[in-house]
Order: sequence, then C-alpha cells, then structure tokens
Amino acid sequence: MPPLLEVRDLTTYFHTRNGVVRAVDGVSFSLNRGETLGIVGESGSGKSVTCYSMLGLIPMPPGRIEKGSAVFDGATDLLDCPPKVLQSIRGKRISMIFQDPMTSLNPYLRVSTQIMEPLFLHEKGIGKKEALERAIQSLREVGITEPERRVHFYPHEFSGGMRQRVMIAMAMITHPELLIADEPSTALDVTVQAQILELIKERQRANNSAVILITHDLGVVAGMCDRINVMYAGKIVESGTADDIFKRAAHPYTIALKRSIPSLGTKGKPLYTIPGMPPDLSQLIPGDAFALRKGIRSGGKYDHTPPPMVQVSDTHWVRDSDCELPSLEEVLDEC
Amino acid sequence: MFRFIFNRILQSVVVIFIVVTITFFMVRLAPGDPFSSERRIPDYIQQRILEHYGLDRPAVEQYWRYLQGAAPKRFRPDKLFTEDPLLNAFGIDLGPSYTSARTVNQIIAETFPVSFELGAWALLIAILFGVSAGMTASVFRNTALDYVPMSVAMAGICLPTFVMGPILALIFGVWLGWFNVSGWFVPADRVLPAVTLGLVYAAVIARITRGGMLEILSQDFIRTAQAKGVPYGKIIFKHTLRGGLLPVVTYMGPALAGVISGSFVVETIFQIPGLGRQFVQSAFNRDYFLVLGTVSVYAVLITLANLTVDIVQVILNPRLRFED
Repeated sequence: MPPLLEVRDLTTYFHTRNGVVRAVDGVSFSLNRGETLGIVGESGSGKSVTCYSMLGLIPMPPGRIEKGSAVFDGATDLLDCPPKVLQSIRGKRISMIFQDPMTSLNPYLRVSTQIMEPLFLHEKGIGKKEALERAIQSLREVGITEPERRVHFYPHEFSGGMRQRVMIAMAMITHPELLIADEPSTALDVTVQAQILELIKERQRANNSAVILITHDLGVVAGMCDRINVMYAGKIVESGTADDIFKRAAHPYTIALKRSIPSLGTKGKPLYTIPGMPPDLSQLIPGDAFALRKGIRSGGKYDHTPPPMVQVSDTHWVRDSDCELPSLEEVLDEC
Repeated sequence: MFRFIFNRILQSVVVIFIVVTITFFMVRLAPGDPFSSERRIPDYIQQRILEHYGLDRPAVEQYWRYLQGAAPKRFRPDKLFTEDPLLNAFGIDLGPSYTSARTVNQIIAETFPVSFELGAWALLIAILFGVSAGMTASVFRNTALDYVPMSVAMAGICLPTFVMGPILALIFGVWLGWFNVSGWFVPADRVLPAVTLGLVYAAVIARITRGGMLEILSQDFIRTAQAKGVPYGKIIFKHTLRGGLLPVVTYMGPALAGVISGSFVVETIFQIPGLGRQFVQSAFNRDYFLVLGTVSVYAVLITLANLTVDIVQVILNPRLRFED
C-alpha cells in the first residue's frame, strides 16, 4: 500500500522585492495512514510553508512552488493537479486547523454556517437538517456542552479554547484522512493546550486519520508523534522516530532545541537558549545554514557545499554537520 | 437591540433640538433682517410688518413660539400625501416665508421631493458603481482591473461637482445632444445631475470598498475557508463581502449628508427646483423661518441616515449585537 502522503523535494520560494526568500528548500518526507508526524523548528524555519504549499494556501505571487511533488494516496500530486481537484481534496480528505482560533473563524458568520460548510461543499445532496445534525454531533464530539444551542452562536461568544474545539470539529466533520494542525495549541492557555492536543489525538483515533503536527515546542511532539522532522532554514536537518530524536539526537540543532526545553533543566539553573538568529533566507546559503549562526563554531567542512543527509539507522536520518554548540556559560556571557 | 434603537432615537431628538436652537439664534446674529434689502419704507409700515411677523418681540419669546409651532403634534400617515404633509400629518408649522407668498411648509413640500429624488438617484449610482468597482479592484488586485478603476476613482475624488457638472453638460448636453442641459421636466433630465452628484461618492465608495475587501481578504479566516475547499467566488461573496462592506456602510452617513449639501451646487448648475437652492437663497435673504425650516429638514434627514447606518452596522456585524 502506498503511503498516504509522499512529499519529494518540495521547494517553495517567495519572490519579494528584497530578493528570493527560500522558505522551503528541498523537503522530502512520507506519511502513512493513521500516523502522526511532527514538524519542529523555529519561527521562519519553513514548517508552516511546507504544509501550506501542499494545500495551495501559499499566496501567489509572491510565493511560488519551484519544484517537487506531494503525492496524496498514491494518485494525486497536490502540487500539480487541476485547482478543482485540489479544492475537492481540501476540507474533505485533508483538513487543517490553525494557530490562532481567535482569528481563524469568520466573525461575521454563525458557527453553524461555518461548520456545515464543508459538508455542503464536499457531500453533494446533503440536506440542511442532516448537515445541522452532523454539525451538532461534531461539536458534541469535541466536548462542547449544549451543542444544540451553541451551534447557532457566533465565534465571539466562545472562549479561545472553545473556538479551537470548534475548529477541530469543523476540520473533522468530513472524516479527513489527513489532519494538518499548524501550532494548534500555541495561542492557548497552558491549561487548555494539553486538552486540545489530547482532543486531536482522540479525534485522530476515532477517525483513523493521519496527523501532521506543526509546532516549535518539542515537548508537544514528544508525547504525540510517531515520527518527527526537525527543520532549520527551510531544510529538514533531522528525521526520525520520537525515540531517535529524544534519545539519540545527532544534529547539533536538534540537541540545542532539546536543551532549551525548560522543564528538562534543574530548578534554579539558568535556561539554555540557542544563541543568535536564524539566517536570512533571502541570501543564498551554499553550505550548512546552522554554521552561519552567531555563537556556533564550525570546522568549515560545509562552508561551500551543502551537507548531505546521512542514515543513522532504519528510521533515523540526519544532515551531516560539524558544528559545535556553545556551552551554557558561553550562552550566558553572550546575553 | 430595541433599547439600542430607542436610545439612538432619543439622542437624535436631542441633536435636532440643539441644531434648531443654535440656528435660530445664529441667523439673528447675522447683520440685517429679512427686509433690509427691500426699498426704503416708512418707519410705521416697517413697524407694522415686524409686528405682523412677531419680530418685535424679544428673541426668547420668538424662539418659544417657533418651537411651539415646529413641534410635531400628531401622526396621521394617511395625510402624508396631501398638499402640506408636514402640517396635516405631523402638525408641524414651520412658519411663514418672508420673501415669498407661501409658507415654509409649502416650499418644503414642493421642493423636497425633487431634492430627495435627485439624492436617491445619486446615491444609487454611487453605491452601484462604487461597490462594483471596489470589489473588482480588490479581487483583481495589482492588475489593470485594479489600477484603471482606482485611477478613475482618484480623478473622480479630485474633481469637484461644479467642474464635473458643466463638463458633463457640455459633452452630453451640448455636443452629443443626448440630454437637456438644464431643467427638471422629463425623466432623462435626472441623468446628468444624478451622475454629477453620484460620481464623487462612487469614487470614494470604490476606494473604501477596495480597502475594506482587501483588509478582510488578508484575515486568517479567509485562509481557513480556503483550507475547507471553499471556491473563490464563495470566499468573496460569503466570507468577505459582509465585513468588507462595513466601512462603506459607516461612510453612508456622511455620504448622505454630502449628497444633500452638495445637491445645491448641482441644483444651481442644472436649474433644478430643489430644496438645496431654497436653502442657499434663504440664507442670502435672511429669510429666518425658511433657513430654520430647511436646516431642520436636513438635520432630521442626516440623523435618520446615521441612525439607519448604526442599525445596519449592528445587523452586519454580530460582534456589536450583544454589547449594551
């Protein structure tokens, strides 16, 4: 059986006035049915653009998908198919939830209208009554009390966490085979974050959907994902199972990310941060992008040639690097 | 909702009362009186005239008597289409006009429908052209379909009606001979004045519509709709239009005021027997009661327009609906 999604060499550039921003540069991964993939990286590492590219959500211009393929279910290349076909997949077989539930729901339309919309679009001939029942059922499944009454509310009558539940209900109403969650918990209270992630997991099990979870929080992916891709400067730098990433991380960037998870340090100890800033992607980077980061020492092996991906084990791939992380004391000195 | 409307109506009444009061005393502060431009007449005749109109009384007393006359005393909708609807349907008596043989009520009853029709056509043109041009521009942003309408709109904003009017009259009236250059007799006479008056507002509305639509199109929830597989046309009409047109609705209040006050220029250019001309002439003649009457009509119209705008806004924007 072919994988549900097979992405090969996905490359998305933004052609701006200040030059070409290489937001996603040759990303490849695959995803099986029911599997959960985490994509981790800093802001601007290209993790969201990767997923937006697949669904045709990149504003074009300035964005352009330069090359690559994203074969869905062994049949359709999402990057190269008629708009009508892509439209029939979006919201039906692939759904998406976004970071900020406060702005991701249309404030001018009732929740009922918005939740039922995918049904009317993708399940032709569905009656109004049946659609409303499905919407209520969907809200009930994401734990919204009194869904019969609240389905007619406007988004502003819900709290942030509740709105994200509405988003999930809306995304799952068509029982998609793939759910893309773009930082679904980032904008929420810490107490609500865990609930929302738990809810996504629960809905995933109920529908046997695959999930791509985009986040900058390694702690979030740890408990949820079967596989994890770590991205840096538009490229995947390390890819492996949760165990590979958490127990056998090989790329210095992954190690740095792990070290900066606050809860893993001892109390009273200063927090580790990755020094410097991610590189400016509008400049062509011929070699190892991480080596350019301020405070990172590199042996100069990949100054001019791109570092290759190296297979560590059956499941674990890492981009070669000769960078060395600064110690905590050095980071503190820097501050 | 009903409390909101009731409060707004109450506010409107206060506003109109204040406008009438200020106008009443302001016109009397202006030098001269209604009869200063007449030929010299003997003092005792002058005295008789002033007595006849009650102008010899203290200003406060005059003011009190005017308010008594102008206050609405009844409501008879069946009498709305009589010769003097203000008096017959509402019991409003706006007093006599000093410079004509008719009462202010009669002048308003004669001229207001003309101005109202002109304004209605102008607003219709403004909304139809403005909204469609603005929407086209926003949907085809940064293409010829954006630049051309928006440049035309910019030109339209810059051209005042007293330039636009004669140009249109010259082209379509004199050269092409399609319309009469002036007058208000046949239906075709409505075209040039309404277009002249409407184009400026069409231009402003086009720019506001474009801005409003682009603002909404850049929102996260549009991306959500795209991700749901909503086709582009539905994204525009179902998800964007409502929010995108809110600024236009807000602008309709000032636009109506502008159409009304702008209409006297157009009425003068095209020789239209409307209220706007009466308004300007009455001010020159110091025809106190006619000034007050026209100002009151405008005040009522503008507050009514703003009231409607507020209500429509609440209907369009659910977030406003539950605030008390």
